[in-house]
Amino acid sequence: MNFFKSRTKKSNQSANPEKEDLPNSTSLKENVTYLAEAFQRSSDLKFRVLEEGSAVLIYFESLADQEKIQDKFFKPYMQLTKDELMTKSSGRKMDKRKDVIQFLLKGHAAFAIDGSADIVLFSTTSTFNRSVDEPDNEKIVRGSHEGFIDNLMININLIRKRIENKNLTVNFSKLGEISATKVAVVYIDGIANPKIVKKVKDRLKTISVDYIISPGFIEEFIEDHAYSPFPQMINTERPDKTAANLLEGRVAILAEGSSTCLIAPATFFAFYQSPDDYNSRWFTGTFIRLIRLFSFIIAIGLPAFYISVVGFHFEVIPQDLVIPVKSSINDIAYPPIVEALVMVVIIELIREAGIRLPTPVGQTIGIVGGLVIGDAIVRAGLVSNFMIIVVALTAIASFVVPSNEMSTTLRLLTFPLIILSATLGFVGIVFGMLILLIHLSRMESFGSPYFSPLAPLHVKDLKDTFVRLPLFKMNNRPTDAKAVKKKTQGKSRGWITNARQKK
Amino acid sequence: MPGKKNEKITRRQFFFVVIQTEIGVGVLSLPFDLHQAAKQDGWISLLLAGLVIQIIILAMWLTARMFPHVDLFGILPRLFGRGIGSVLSFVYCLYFIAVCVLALLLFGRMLHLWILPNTPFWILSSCLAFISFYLISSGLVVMARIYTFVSILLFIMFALLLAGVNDMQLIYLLPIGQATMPELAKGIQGAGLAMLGFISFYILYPQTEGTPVQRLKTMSLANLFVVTFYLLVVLITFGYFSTAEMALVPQPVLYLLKGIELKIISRVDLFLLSMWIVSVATSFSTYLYMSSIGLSVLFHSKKIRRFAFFSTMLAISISIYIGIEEQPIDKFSLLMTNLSIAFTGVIPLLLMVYAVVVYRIVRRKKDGKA
Amino acid sequence: MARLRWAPLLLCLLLLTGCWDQRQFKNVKLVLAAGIDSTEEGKVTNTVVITNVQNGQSGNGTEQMQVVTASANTPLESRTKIDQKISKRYDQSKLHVLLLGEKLVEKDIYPYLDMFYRDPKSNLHARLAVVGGKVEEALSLNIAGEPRISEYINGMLTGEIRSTQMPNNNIQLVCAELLEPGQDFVLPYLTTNEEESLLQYDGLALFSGKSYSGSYLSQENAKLFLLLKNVMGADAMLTRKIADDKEAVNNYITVDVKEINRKLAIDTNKQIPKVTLDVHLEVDVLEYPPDHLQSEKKVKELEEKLEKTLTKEAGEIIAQLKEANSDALGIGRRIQGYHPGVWKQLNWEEVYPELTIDPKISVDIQSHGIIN
Repeated sequence: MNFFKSRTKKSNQSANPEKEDLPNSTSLKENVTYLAEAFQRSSDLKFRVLEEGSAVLIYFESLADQEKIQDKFFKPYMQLTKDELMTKSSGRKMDKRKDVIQFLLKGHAAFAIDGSADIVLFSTTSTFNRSVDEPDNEKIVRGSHEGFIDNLMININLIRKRIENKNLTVNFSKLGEISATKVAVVYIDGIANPKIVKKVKDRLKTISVDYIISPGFIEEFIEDHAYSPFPQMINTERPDKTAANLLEGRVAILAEGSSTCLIAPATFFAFYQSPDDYNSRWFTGTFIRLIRLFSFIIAIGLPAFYISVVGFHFEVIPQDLVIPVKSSINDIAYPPIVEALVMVVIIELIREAGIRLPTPVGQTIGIVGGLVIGDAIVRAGLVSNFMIIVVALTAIASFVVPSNEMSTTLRLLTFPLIILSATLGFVGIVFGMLILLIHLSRMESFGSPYFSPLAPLHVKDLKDTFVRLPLFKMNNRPTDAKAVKKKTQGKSRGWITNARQKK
Repeated sequence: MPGKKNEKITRRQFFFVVIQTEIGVGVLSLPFDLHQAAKQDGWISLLLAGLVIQIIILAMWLTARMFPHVDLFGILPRLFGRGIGSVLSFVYCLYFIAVCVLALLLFGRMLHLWILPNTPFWILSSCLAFISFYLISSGLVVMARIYTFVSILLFIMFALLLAGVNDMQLIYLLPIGQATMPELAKGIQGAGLAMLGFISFYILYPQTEGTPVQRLKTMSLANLFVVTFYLLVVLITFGYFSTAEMALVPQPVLYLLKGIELKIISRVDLFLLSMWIVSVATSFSTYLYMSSIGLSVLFHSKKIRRFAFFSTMLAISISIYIGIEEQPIDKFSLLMTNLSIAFTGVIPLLLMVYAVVVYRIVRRKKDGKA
Repeated sequence: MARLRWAPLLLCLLLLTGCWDQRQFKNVKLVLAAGIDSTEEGKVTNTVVITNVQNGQSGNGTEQMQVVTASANTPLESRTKIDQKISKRYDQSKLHVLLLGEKLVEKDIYPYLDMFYRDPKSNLHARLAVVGGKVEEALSLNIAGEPRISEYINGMLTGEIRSTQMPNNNIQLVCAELLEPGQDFVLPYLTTNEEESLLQYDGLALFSGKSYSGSYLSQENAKLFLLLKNVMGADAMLTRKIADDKEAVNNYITVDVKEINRKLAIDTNKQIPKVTLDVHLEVDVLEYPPDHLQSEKKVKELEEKLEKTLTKEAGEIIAQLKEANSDALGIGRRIQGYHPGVWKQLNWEEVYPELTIDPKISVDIQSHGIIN
């Protein structure tokens, strides 16, 4: 950390604050020299000399769009006089060096004339946007297939399109002393709890770093429990999910240059929800949600349970399974904990290798890892059949979670539980689970309890946690976001009673 | 972060804190203790114990109602003056730590007998104690949340026991009414030991939301719940084991499940035992919490966590010193039974009498003068 | 931050703790069936069937049975002796079937079961059976198509329970009745059929107190006995002779008991209590070649005949119980439960054989299948 701190200080000193605050000079030459120096004579800074040296157009070749320059500058330039250009064109007059530098960095083109301290800036920023495609890591079957991209404005546009309401509030701020990343805090005034909004803004304000590359940086700076393995803010690239969360009274944080949106406050169970739950019929939604939550137990507990069964309490194996299990593990050389650790590590290796490689190769790795190694390792007598089943199931269960962060956390939590179960058996698992439960219950995300609605128990909220009841039953917002406006709907199925009354 | 100061627990949480504190170490051997005392009429003792405890609760409520903003450790100095009050508070803290020690010992012995015969006791006791320390250092609100959540285990435990209903022979509950009064009284003592947790009312009362009557109602409901839960457990075990066999089985609840094989899993007792650990942890934590609150009040300190750590270490060291051999534990638990009669029975009643009669008169006189 | 200070400490502590109680499943020799018998000299013989499995690359691999026997003063001592003959140590926490020798059970059987009751790891769910003849022989049988003797015996006993030939039993359930005064128990009685190399269920061994009385109920009587005891498995078929026709097969009727309604009344006014046992059976006819069951008269007639036969048999069964001094119906415990004052004055073991037990069985034919 010290390293970063010292660098921050140095960079502050090296900048030249006195000169930057000065107004532009009236001399064109001085201005040009200053700008060239200010950008360290960067090669992509283009000076285009016009009118035999009495005017210069300055822009970054790498940032500005040639066509836009043609459109916004040269067309009016041909038709208008210089003075008219100063006043009547779409350009903006700037007289401070600092501002000129700022706008040049955004891709604007600066037009400077000898004898005038005003420099006109034309917005010629070139933008390269990928299309708003569905994010790869959050695919759904039904519903919206749009996703955030790396442009902040377009992302906010995607949200505003979904919530056409004057109360949708967007607050910009700049983070990172060198990178000056634009960060937006989005919430709906009148629904979101002002205390939570204030908390988010205050925490963002205190961040003092050189650069923010991605929201992951922001997350670590503002979350409540940095030493917890659990993610405390929802990461999503889906505008529809973001909009839904905003409507529940949460706050979203978006950053320029990243397609991930952070949502706070989050609860543990928020990570188990997917827009798909609401797009499908509520029976299906409920069923899938129950499966997902069940997968949590499998993902963290199954290997530990299996190890304590075969290592401590094999009495619990039902009579009919005794011989199959016994014959499967009888000739394995290593104790079950080694088996389990080996297998878990192998699965992680395959996963990691698969992610980094190009898709066709990644598939090959999957096949080689899954089928070939899996089969060979059993034949070699290193790992038993049952352990393969157990570990594979665990891995699959951890991938069921819609959130990538939570899924990684789950796979990480398997290890301490494996170790505990290998030392104390069932007792160890109970101890581990207790610690986990205490940890989850004492965590808070921006002032709302993390393990809500289970601890503290909110029976009414359970209908959108473990199950998903029909939407017309969810009359109130979930309590964990502490929304100011509690009610979400009136009688949405009022037509039934209306029809009855007519009869 | 630990729960905020002055945050109160809801009445529902209060209910669960009480039942989780009451249902703890004792539940596994309760039927045996009752049977030892009053044979197949043990369940009558249990009901009577519930009644006695209800009376004590009423007494505690009458006392606590007079001092709505302070707990036991605030009441004692107010009633008896700083000197005597502090001594009494300190003795109560020691008593709570002693209950912790007993819980640790019985927990250690149970695991030693049933599941981990070779694991050293100090490991198990310090694991449990440190988990509890972690729990109480999060504050009462978080404790209450967790207690509410883990109460679901009680229902699972009960559901597991239902597997034994098939093989019950109701004839073993007969004849009814053969036990003599002294036998029943002894049974009440045994049952009381399994329900000691009601004393937490003193500490929790000022930290709970609601009017005094509402809180009393919740407390009485909790008592009713515990008695009902125990009653069902006792009846199932009494019906499963014959009168003669019961005398041989100190942990009938576990022993019942040991002989049951479900299709997907056998040896259900090991699962019950695992869930029971949670119950032990919760009641252990409450006592630890009460003693550390008491100590912090005594020493006028706000750093409850420091005293919690102290209490934890003290409980662990004493329990390791006593060890889990049969004789010392039996002696210690006998001592605790007698102490408990004093601390959870006699003293609350006396406090009530003193507070309602003496203190009120004194105060009235003072008010009159002023 | 304070909590982080001791968190690593706790972690180290856990990591350092070895694995004191680890019992690797792969390292044990599994005993699924065992038997206890006594020798001529009064020593205890322990026979265990160890299942050795070899890992198959796919599928369940191969199994081999190893029967080992040793004699010593107590069951556990003989266990030590067995361990000296095998690799590793054997483990009986997954015991499936426990056989007791006929000679052994003539004495108090509790001492031989004590090690199971006392051990936290033992499987109390294992089924118990008495073997007429030598236990070792029964366990060494090679049964075609049944690789595991434990599976074979357990399957057989489970089948008998389902067809109401024996009550549900395991080591745990026996204990209650074993120790309780005024209640005796029965165990299935198996014999070795050497010609066919099979075991055979022969009936219920009657226990008196804690030891075998020496007589067993034949398997024909066992079913009726269980009905008298108000115990029923999945089905209970009774085939009885009700006529004297020329064609022998036509003389019989087979019924399936659907419901039992038992009333056990104890009259304690006299010196020796008098017991009336009213059992009402609701039955379905499964087999009756002469047909024509639609007539009420015919049905009534059949019911009466069945009632007569069954009541007579019940009387014989009770006589046998009394002769064996085995209160397997639990009458004593009922007297204790409902008339505790009377019970205290009785010396049950002496009174029981003198008891008047009056069985009366009534039958109600409810249906007769899909033809008349």
